[in-house]
Amino acid sequence: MSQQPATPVRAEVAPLNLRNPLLAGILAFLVPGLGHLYQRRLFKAGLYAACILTTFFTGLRIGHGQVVYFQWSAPESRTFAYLCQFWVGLPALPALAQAKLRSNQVFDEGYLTKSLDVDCLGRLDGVDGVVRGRLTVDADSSGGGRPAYGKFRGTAVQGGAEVRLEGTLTNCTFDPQVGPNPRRGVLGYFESGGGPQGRFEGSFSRPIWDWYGAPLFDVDASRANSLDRAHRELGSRFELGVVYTMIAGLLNLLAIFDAVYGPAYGDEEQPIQGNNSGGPA
Amino acid sequence: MGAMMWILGLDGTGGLARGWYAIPLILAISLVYSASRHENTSLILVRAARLVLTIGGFMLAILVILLILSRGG
Repeated sequence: MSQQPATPVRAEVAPLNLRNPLLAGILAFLVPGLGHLYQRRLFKAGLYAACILTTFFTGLRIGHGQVVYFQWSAPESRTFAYLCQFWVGLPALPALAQAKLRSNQVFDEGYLTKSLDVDCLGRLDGVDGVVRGRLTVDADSSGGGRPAYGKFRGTAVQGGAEVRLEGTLTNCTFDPQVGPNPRRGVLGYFESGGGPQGRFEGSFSRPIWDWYGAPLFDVDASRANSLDRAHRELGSRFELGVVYTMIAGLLNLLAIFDAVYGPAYGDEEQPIQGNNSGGPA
Repeated sequence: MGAMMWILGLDGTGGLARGWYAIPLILAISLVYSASRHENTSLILVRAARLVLTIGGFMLAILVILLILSRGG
C-alpha cells in the first residue's frame, strides 16, 4: 500500500496580482514601498517603507548627513559604499547629481556666485560669547573670486551684557558653496568704529540642495578637505552611518525583487495551485 | 565585564553605545528579509521574530566567546 508524500504546505496565499511588474520594480527602486503600494500590497508597502527609509535616514542622521556621497574620480578614495546606498533610490540619487552635474566652480573655496544676505553665527576675537547677526556680502565685492568684504550687524554677549556690533567684515573667505556640511563657514576680519574688532570665524546655513549628498573631498590640507574633518568630528559614527545606509540599500534590493517577481516562498507557504503570479512581462 | 559595559555604553565614559545600534538593524533586516520570502502577514511576523532571535543569539554567542577569550588579556 503506497503512501502519499507529506505536503510541506501549511499556509496558502491568495492569488497574487503583480500588475505591471516592471513598473512596480521601478517604483520600488525610486521609493521603497511605492512599488508594493502600486500593487496594492499595503502591508508590505508600509513595512518596506518604514524599515528601509528609517534605516537609511537614521544612518544619515548618525553621520550628520555626510555619509552618502559619490566620488569616483580619485581612485584612492572611491566610495564603494555608494554602490550599496544607491539602491535606496531617490533619497540616494542626489549624491550622483552633486558629483556629476554641479559646476566645479561652485565647489571652489571662496567663490561667490550671488550676493549673500544671511543669518550668521560665529566667534569674534576678544568677545566671550557667540556672535549672532546678519551678514550681507555683495557678490561684486569679491572681484571675481576672493577675498570679499561685507557688512555685519548683530549682537554678542560680553561680560554678561549684550553688546551691539555693526561694522565691516573684510578679507572674507568662504567655504565652497556646495559642501557636505549643512552650514557654510566664513572667515574674515571684523572692523567697527569703536567696538570690539578682530578675527571673525562664523557660519551660516546652506540650502539643502547645496549640501545633501555633496561629496567629501580628500585633496589637501585646506579647509576643503572635508573627509578628514568629517572623520575627526564624527569618529566611529561616520562608519556606523555608512553601514546603516548601505544596509538600507541592500534591503531595498530584496524589496525590488519582491515587487518584480513576488515573494520567494518559504517552506511553509505555497501559492494556490494554478495561480500564475507572473514576473516581468 | 568591562568590555561588555563598553559595548553597551554603560561604562560611564559617555562613548558611543555600540551594542544598542545593532538592535534596529536586526529588526529591519529580519522584517524585510521575511517579507521578501512570504506573502502571508502573520507568517512574515512569525518568521521575522524567529530571525531576530537567531541573529541576536548568534551575536550574543560570539560576544560571550570574545569575552571569554579576552579575560586572559
